[in-house]
Amino acid sequence: MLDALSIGFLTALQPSMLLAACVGVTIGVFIGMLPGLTSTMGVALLIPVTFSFPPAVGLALLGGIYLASTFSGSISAILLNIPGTPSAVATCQDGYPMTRAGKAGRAVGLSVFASCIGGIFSAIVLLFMAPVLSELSLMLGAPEYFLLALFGVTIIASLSEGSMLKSMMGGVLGLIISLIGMHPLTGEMRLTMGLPSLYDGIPLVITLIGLYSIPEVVNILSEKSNSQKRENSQFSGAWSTLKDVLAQRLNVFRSCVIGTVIGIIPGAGQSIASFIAYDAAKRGSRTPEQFGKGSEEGLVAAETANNAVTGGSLVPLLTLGVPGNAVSAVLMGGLIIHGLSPGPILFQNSPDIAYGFIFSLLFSNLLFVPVGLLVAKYCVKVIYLPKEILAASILSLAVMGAYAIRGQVSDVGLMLAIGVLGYLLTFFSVSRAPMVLGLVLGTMAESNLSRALSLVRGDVGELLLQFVTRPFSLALVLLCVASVVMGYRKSRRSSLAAQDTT
Amino acid sequence: MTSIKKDAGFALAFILLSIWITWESFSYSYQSSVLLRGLAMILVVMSVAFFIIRIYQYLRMAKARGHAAPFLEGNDVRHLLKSLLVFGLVGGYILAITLVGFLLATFLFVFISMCCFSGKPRVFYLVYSAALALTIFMLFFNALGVTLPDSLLPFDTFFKIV
Repeated sequence: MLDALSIGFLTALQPSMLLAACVGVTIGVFIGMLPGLTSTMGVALLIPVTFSFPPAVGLALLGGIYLASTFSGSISAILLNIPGTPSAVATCQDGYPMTRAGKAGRAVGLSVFASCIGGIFSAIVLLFMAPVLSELSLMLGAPEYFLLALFGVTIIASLSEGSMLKSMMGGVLGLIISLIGMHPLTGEMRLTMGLPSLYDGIPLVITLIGLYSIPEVVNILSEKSNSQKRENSQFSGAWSTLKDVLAQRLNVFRSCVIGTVIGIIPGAGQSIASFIAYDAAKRGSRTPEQFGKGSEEGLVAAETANNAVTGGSLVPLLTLGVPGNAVSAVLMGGLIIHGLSPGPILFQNSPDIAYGFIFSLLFSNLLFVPVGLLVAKYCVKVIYLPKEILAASILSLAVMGAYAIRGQVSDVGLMLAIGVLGYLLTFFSVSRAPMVLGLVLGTMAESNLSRALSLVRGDVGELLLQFVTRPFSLALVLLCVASVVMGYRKSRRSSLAAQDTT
Repeated sequence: MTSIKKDAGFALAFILLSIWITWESFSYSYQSSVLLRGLAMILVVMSVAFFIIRIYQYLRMAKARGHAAPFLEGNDVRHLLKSLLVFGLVGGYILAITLVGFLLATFLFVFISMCCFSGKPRVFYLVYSAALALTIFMLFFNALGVTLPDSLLPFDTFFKIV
């Protein structure tokens, strides 16, 4: 093992590998920032470019894009309240309020360093514990996936700003919207209203673009003047945030673990990890009332977790040949194109490539710090633009981003319809984050519930028994119960405190 | 009080929506609709509860203050009008893409939008619109290889290099 590690380390240190990582990180930062362009798209588009490269160099380039685009979705989330990638939705909760308070630079700095630490943690876990963790991922089945989605639902309430009932209604609506389209097992179309563009459901990225871009444009146009924004939008204090991130040791470590574990579970996704970490940070914080108003703990938790997913998601890919998410599925294609078979054989036959790739991920996590801060320093000037230019630019990019997902003009109409819904939600002061979480969880919950039921031939009693007899299922059930009980106790405490003060 | 009244309106809209979804769910097979139906019913219950709570609070406050409150305030109306402008412009943009192609539609959309949002036309807007439309076109359709949308005019194909 030591020989293989040293071969991998030396491979990753080659100038061609470092250059590829640097180029990948730079491209990834720009891809992640633009709503509509995702890590999956960036990696898929650049695979053909890597045909002529040696396999290790090609993988270093693609890995750099993956990591950097995961982080840079937070730049537009922080500066404009428009998440560049689905995993940056939780970042909007506290990143944008920090920008409004004049701490844009600090928010971006916290995001960069938190993402860096999360990515490094999961890369180290991938390096040393990949075979053990891959066995863990094999032990999870449909019942565990359903319970994980259910656990995610229990934290919808913790994302509420203002009325919890309103937020829960938004979350349930999100769950319902995620069910639009074909049922995963029966193939029956639901709530499509005869529109072919809805047969495959509503893509998450289109929903995010519509939910966030259009209401934010209306808000920008409704602001009285730009002069207040200019005073508030200083990009300073970014580099000094490293020690502030490190000071939140428990929060960072917990978020790293959450992100890595969620990443190992195929299909779970970065959005879920960032929300779960955010919720855990809120429950463990001494100032939970600050969450949603510019809490640095919330921002650090979300960003650490979503980058910690990157290494975890590569565990099932590299050890078992099972892609953990859409990006790793595309990376698997890249490996196959270069004549490599993902799985245990990869580590035995090509340790320089396998370990070289993992070490290059470590270096990429360090590289996106200066690149991300440099890009963000100039991006922050975007909010100085006159509002008519900013609004028109955001709308045209949103339209283009929505079109680019599937190449259908009807998707832009869908984006507009979702945008109208998003505007109405903000008009009635309903938080959008619970709805997004519902959208993310709904498909996962339904498909796994259907699968779990079909495995027990529809016997609900048998399924419930499995929930308590399978060890991971039982752990998740206990987590769900704890989440609900703690949430209820907290809300009871705060309503009693409110009664005492009146 | 206005916010409470708005909340009641929001709850009413959700009641109607959730009832419609519940009704629709009965037209699907049981296996396909069990989760959908359950969620829709939960939404009905939550919406009705929220509506009742808000109406009760509003009536109590109206009685205590002795007057009703408007559903919308001045700012709300301005906000709504701005939103209608944005929706209309984006809707027109979508239509224009299918008629004149992406490049020209984007140029027109960005220019008209900036003129509408600022209230006056400027020569700078023409230059910016052209630059932005060309940049987006080059980035997405040439660099990233996204497929061109179909349109009545073949204007876009002249600029397609890849």
